[in-house]
Amino acid sequence: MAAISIDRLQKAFGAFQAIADLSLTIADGELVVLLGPSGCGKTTTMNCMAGLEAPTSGHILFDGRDVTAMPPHQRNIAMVFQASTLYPHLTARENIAMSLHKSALSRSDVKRRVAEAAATVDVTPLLDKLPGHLSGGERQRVATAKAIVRQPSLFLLDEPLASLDASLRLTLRAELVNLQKRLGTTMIFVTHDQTEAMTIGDRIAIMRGGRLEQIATPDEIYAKPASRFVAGFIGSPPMNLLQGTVVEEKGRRVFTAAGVRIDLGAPEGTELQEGAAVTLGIRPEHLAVGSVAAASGITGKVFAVEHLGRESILIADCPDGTRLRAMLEPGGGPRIGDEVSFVVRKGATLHVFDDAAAGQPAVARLLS
Amino acid sequence: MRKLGPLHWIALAVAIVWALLPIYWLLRMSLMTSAEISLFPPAIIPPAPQPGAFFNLLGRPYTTSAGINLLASGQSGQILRGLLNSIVVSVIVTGITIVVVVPLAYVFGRLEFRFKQLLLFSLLLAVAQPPVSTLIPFYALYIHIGLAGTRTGLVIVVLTITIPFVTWMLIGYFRNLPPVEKLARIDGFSRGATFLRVMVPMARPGIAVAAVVAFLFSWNEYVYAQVLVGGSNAVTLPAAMSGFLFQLPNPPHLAAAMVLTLVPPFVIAFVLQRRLSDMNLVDPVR
Repeated sequence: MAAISIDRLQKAFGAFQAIADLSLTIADGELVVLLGPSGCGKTTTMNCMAGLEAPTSGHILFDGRDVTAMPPHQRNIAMVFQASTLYPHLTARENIAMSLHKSALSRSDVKRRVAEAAATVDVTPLLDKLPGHLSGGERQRVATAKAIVRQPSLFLLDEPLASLDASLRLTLRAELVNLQKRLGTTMIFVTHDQTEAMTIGDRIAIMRGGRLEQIATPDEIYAKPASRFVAGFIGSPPMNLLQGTVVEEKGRRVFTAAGVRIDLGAPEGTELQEGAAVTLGIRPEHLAVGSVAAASGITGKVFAVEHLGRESILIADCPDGTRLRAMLEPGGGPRIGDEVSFVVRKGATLHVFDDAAAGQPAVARLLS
Repeated sequence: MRKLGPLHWIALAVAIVWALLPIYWLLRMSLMTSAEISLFPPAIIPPAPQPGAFFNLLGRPYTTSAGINLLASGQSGQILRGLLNSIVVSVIVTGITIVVVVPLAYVFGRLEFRFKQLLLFSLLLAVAQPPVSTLIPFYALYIHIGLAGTRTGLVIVVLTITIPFVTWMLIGYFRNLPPVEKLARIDGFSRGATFLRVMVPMARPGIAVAAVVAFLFSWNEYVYAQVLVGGSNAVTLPAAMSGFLFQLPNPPHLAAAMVLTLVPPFVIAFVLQRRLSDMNLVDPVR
């Protein structure tokens, strides 16, 4: 078990800055998901933690012990790679035992540990098969057994489910979380799939361009995205983002954009400057659709309606080209091509992001 | 598997006849006497098959059951020496080729380094350059340094062909192996151990194919052998066989010598046939 602390980590490949000043702490036994688009530095971060890449600067500490210069096998970590890579010429049993080849365990101890690990993830009947004869899910389980057999203090998983089909992913995802909680081992899980991140993470660290945008629990990230990037990245269907400016009317701040007018309330406690260019974020579930012109002034032409059973999602194009999504009651609803207007529901959270500042941080969050 | 239609069977039959008829014809000739061979129309099946030519080739006279005396071949000394030399040269060439080529192909196939493209290109040039173009320079050089007519000299020359060719062949194979280097590092293998204990065992099928190619190339090498070691004590089987050209024609002896040359490749193909069909050079891991 280990608490991880990353201190001002930087990694450059030539002129390309893969990780730019990353600091983050992970508690013992926590499952943290590194989430971000491809090229955001999440895999590089993981490789640095594993010791596969040497950071350009900064430190990595496991339980307060600096491991930055330590080779991978001395860090007491286990890693599962993309597509659950295994040695193709070795049987599942030999693959699992390979994890222990540097340990001082006796042959019988290795045998016992391999059998235990295999039993934990239910692959005992597959032990004598070659990876080529296993299905994707079985391979993933063997890769997991290979990881846990070492009894590591940290699991690193680099998109282990990326190559599996959707239903298998769902099953294995739940199994991985269950296993992590049973073993109580710290786990870091890299993915670019926000749904996967939301479902498994104790906390999610969202990265972009080698920087940490936000690290928080899934609920907090959803309710209080720290930046416009996080707001747009998390949530399915994604958050609606409207660009406009803030004006003052009768002592109240108002968000305006072509034809749109949304009351942001009294300015107290907010940093909303008059005339500031901002992006307004509204979750689809906070928008309702009416057929008549609403006070908000947001109108659009229906582009598509997606019926998901529990709800329907209406997608409409605004006159300025912005595409908006709203969640509707299932069934019925407008048809493609209809003109609709949007209403901000009562109690909706409005997220205001400052367009002028780098990173577009959230400057205000209010209930309508 | 898909069912084969009649056209497929015809195509298969043509391919098999195409490949096997010449070999059958050789085998047939080696089991006949010169007189039987010169008959017209030729006998498809030897009328009285006997292994006389093989005995003659190994330096022994042979009397057929019909009482015909077949005398030992004058080439037998060269043929026996050629057989031994061919085996020695081919085994050594194969061994050295594999030892050199496997690390080379691994490095080219899986690592990135400066001037890689340039080096790959020069490797391709070495493959593309016709071997004959270096024949005369090598001969002149060998006369000077005393390597003409030696097995060492021949081994060196054959290596200049097998090494670039087999390297080129194996690069793609190594490139297509799954990315297990990081896995090996997590498991505590050093770079060298990763290569020796992970990559080499993993690449065993490809390496076996490479060894077969190197062996066969060396076994069949004729031009260099003829010029550099022909007529010497270091003569190899193909060069020794060409000695028949300058003697009274003796078709059974020639045919028997050729059958003899076919034996090692056949043995290799037979032993490896199961694995050869499993070896997929394009996608090494199914």
